[in-house]
Amino acid sequence: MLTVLVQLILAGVLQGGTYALAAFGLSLIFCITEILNITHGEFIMLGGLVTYILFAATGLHPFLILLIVIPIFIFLGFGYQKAFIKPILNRPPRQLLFSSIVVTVGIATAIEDTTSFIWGPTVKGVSFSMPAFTICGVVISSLRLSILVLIIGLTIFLHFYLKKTFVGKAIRAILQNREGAMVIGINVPRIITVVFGIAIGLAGVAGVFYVLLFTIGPFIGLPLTIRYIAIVMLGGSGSLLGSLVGGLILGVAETFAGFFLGAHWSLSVAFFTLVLVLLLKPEGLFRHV
Amino acid sequence: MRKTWLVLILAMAIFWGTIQVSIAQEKKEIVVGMTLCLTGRFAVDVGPFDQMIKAWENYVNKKQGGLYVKAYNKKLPVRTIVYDDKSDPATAVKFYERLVTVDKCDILMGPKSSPITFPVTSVPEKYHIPMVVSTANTPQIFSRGFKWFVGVQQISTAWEDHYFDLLEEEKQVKTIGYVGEDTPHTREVYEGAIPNAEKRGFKTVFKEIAPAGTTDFTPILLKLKAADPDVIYVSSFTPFGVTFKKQTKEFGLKPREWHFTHFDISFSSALGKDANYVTGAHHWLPGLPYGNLKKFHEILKETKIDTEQYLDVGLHYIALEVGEVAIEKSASLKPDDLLKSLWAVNFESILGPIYFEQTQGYGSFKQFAAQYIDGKYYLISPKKFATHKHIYPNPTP
Repeated sequence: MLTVLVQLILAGVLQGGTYALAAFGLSLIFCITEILNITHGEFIMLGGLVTYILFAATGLHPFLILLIVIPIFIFLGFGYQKAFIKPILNRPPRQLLFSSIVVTVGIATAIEDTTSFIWGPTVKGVSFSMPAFTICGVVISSLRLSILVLIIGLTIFLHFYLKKTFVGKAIRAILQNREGAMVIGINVPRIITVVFGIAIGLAGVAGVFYVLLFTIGPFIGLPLTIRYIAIVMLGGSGSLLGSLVGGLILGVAETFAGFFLGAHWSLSVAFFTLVLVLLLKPEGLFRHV
Repeated sequence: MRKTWLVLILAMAIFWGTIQVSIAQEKKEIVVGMTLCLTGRFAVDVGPFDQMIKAWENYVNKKQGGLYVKAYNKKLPVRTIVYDDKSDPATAVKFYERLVTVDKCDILMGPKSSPITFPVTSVPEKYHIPMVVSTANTPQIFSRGFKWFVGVQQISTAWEDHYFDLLEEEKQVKTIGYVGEDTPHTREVYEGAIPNAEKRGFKTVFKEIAPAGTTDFTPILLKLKAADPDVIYVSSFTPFGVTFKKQTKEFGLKPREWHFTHFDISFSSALGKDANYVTGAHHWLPGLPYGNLKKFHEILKETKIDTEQYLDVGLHYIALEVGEVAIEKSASLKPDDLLKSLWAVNFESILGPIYFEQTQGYGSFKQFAAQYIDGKYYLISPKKFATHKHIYPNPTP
């Protein structure tokens, strides 16, 4: 039984790690700009699609493809922000939230339809696997473990980036007090562009991991965004640690419920956990970066 | 005298009017309508079927000179109307209402999938226009006592008869573990497969339903590993099946056989060599000797549809074949005559003999069993049409 428990915890942590990575970008955008970026899941899908195309064309190791995907998606984030988000940024807060939902849902739909039209509606997966290994009776997936190590590495890097660099400090300053940040000379519009670059870059990375573990199709984006919004609410918006813990709670709750109550109950229990946490801590588990 | 003249003129006017009405009612074409999931979640399975429908229309009109209508003693051209239901039941219902009330279709073809077909079948019932259901076989669709549609497939609980026949004959498999994706269709196939296999003597050592969209199968895989079945039987759509199969490798799970109820080319291309020797349910594959294959091949060639990529192509096609037979044998194009003719259909389609169960209206077609071997799909059951010997146990290390 102990080996089963260890295996379940490990699987939940691995699952939660992939959730966290994508959720953090969404959280960061929402906290800095008050924009609910419904398109986030589409960028995960696009990250997976780019990986699929590059893998099929070159046969490169998917972790090397990651190095190509990151800059592409950072620049995609810059472009996305400039073209679609910047024009609505100066609206009053409530109007901004609704406008952002309308704009990003529209773009999400356009991305889905365009992707379906160009690459077809069929599901796509990368046929890449790594052998599992066993330690004390616990079967561990090398692929998932590698992905977890990469996620941990990326989280640590982001943590230090936000704590130590000027841009990171500027992001945190805007999170704490937007007007104050402007008064001390932080170029808020530029930082917002950078935030979109980071967030969409992370979504691209999550997309690479997603297509390695699961399959992608043109219409997976919106359901993914909904799940990540739940994680952001659980962890507390704008918090790196919050996204990580939120993702882990959801991942572990899903796995344990799936084993002890049956797979059918895994999502229900996970979201019940979310409701419970929000009842006890309505602001989420953590606050800000 | 004046009165007599008036009566005569009135009688002539009525007679003339009647002739005019009957001339106006003589149809100039046969209108066939349907919706397809050209976008949305089922678009993955439907692909370019709208083009196939047009190619069928062209073939019938240009090479057959249309379809024979007994009442007019001549052939009429066919016109097809296809709307995109966006894989959404409500949209599909809206379009079927339009097909009947605005487009004045003579006969309807069913949409893709049971969840969409279920609400849609209330439209032919309401307006009394016959429909041929193509890719839906949920028992609930047929058990409502509706009379205005028939379906080409056997109900989903009989989905795997050919596969289990093969296992029974080979006597190698003893135990089966079942996993089902929680959608109406895949759940019914799963629920139908278990008693179907048990009555043939196969022991169920594991069974579990998982929600559609499940991404982490660890809990199921741990239990399956402990159960160690000869066959792992997965009733799911492709994305679920691919994710499940991928993760089993990560857990080192190696049953003697993998069986997936939906395993088209997107399944095998997403899994690569891990799809090798997987068995599954398939519709039309080369090797089947039935029906007018020349016409079918010509239509497929024109639309560049690969039957390995789009499993449902055969089902949509035989629905059109059923429509053809029903129209040509019907006394007229009147809905009542067409419906009578539809229920009496009995012919050899490209998927074998097609006829309808006479109380509920579901069809006679059962899925064939196939195996994916070195990049190609082969029929393995029924044995008389097998294009390859069933490879068991799965030799993949």
